[in-house]
Amino acid sequence: MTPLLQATGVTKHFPVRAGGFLHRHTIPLRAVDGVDLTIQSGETLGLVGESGCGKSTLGRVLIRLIPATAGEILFDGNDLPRLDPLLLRRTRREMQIIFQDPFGALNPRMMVEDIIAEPLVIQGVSSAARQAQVTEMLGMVGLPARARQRFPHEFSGGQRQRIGIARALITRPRFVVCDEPVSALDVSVQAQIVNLLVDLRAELGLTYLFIAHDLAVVKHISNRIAVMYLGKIVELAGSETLHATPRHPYTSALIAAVPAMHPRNRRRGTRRPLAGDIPSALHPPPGCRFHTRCPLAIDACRVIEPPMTEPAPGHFVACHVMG
Amino acid sequence: MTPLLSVANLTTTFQTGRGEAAAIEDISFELNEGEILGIVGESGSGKSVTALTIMGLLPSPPARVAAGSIHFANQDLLRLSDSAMRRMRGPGMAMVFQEPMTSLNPVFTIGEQLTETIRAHENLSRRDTFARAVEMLEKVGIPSAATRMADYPHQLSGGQRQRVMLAIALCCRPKLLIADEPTTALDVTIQAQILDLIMDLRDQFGMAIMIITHNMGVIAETADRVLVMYAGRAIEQAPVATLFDNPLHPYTKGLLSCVPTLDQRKDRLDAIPGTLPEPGRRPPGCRFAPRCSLAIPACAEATPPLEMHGPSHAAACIRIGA
Repeated sequence: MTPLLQATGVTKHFPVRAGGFLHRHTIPLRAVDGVDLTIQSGETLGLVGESGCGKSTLGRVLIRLIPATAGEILFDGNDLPRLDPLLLRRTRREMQIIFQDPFGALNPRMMVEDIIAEPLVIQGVSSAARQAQVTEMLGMVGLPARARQRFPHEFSGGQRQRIGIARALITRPRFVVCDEPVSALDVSVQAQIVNLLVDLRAELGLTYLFIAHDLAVVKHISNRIAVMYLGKIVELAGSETLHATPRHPYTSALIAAVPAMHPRNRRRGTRRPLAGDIPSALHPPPGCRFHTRCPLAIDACRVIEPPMTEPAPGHFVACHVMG
Repeated sequence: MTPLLSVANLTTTFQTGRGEAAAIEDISFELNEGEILGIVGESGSGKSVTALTIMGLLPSPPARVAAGSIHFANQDLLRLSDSAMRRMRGPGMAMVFQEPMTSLNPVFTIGEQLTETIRAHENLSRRDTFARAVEMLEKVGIPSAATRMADYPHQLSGGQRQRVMLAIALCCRPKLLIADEPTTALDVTIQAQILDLIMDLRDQFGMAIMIITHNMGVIAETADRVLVMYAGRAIEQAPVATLFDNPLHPYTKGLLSCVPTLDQRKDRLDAIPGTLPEPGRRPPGCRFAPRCSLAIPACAEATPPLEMHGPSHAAACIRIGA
């Protein structure tokens, strides 16, 4: 397999105004802080982490929806951050995104067929060709043909997410960032959308970056999973390996926090939930960023940032104790 | 033993542009002292309307209790005056909501919001009120509680805000706590903390809890008994282990098998087809019938009654055993 996307040292800092009226200055919010990531063509890489860990920002930076502060992103051999505008527009056809909120992601004043066809307008495709492709996409995502002339508000959350998927896939991308595509949906509808994404992956040969906070959904759909904490990848492994033998204490805590699926296996008393909250990305702790909540932290963790190691082939972890 | 809370045939309607529409219909259940009842359902199932009707917090109009009764601690809640109902909330029953961000007033300190509740219900001196508030914050696990009393909600994290909400709800020692999606807005590691805290507080104070959620995992972790709701109706009720071992209603079965779990490996999830009916467009007869793989024409003709199928196990489906 060849890497479709290769990211090295990707960093995204947002300037945040701080200080009082007199000494106003900006400090960086380190949303993504030096991430190395390789995504193979045809694989699905899961990205999990709690809110504020930078997983959505990373997804957007990787397809250059927002520019990176530093780092190199090679997409199919092209250096995205330094691509000239004309070539960038052509490359954008190859990478798309599906958003979390199917209510906010669709323009309420546009008809469904215009929403789905809009990426093609930008790519300069003729009107007749657009019509034909919209019809094909509607069928592919399981929406009736009469949906064309309707408006987003006439659809339920799950159907709206299908519209969002049709819009993302109409340019026939190779790489799709799925940013929490099912978290806003009712549980009985989530499975439909997950199944649809799996089917489309096989049908169209898609490569996914699947971002979610629900570890079980991510494990179901992903070949490999990366765990993110405060702007950094702390562990990356095959999904079965990550679940069976997690190495980073944060990954273990995430797995232990998933509620039992049967009252016989109640976790209360058998696990110690992770204490405390995620620290602010404005002032990340020195050393290992997880040391403030880590049950295994040693002195080195408070001072030295743990490097990424590979204790087993394909299993990467950044931890002084378990690495 | 008479139950602490007894809801019978409760129907709540809302006045809409297209006439009066029922949000919940014919809901009946009981809750004993110290018991945890889980109410599970998806959006539009009526689980929150059930809770708000019991709390007497729905504005009327447009809401109206069209039928049924609510008995709590030997009192008929629907016959209480507004002021008697106000006295009931706090020492009788209290509620925490899903959004800890919007449930707290941003311009008052958490200390002011806690003491306000205590002052409304109890005649304590300023010092005792303050001491009670600090004690409650300590009980819900807020570190250095006395100094945090002066904090504003924005200075707290989401998990801490939900802890403060619990402290406010519990500061008058209610007999019943209603928790409406208490962990939905929180991350999983924080959700685990809050669920453990709710269970600890139940053990400590012995109050009954009604926990409302769409997450079967939350039910599995906390509930003693479960009521499953779909499109405004109760469709199954059972002790928690029975419900997970032997779900009877096709919707309950679907809810339990459509979520992926960490331990299983399968290529496709068992999805429930179709979408939830909107309140104004609920199908006749069994409301789940259009999405149900077992449905027969008779399902659309009459509403299936909630019938007993085992010890304290009731389900509303005419195709059980089919």
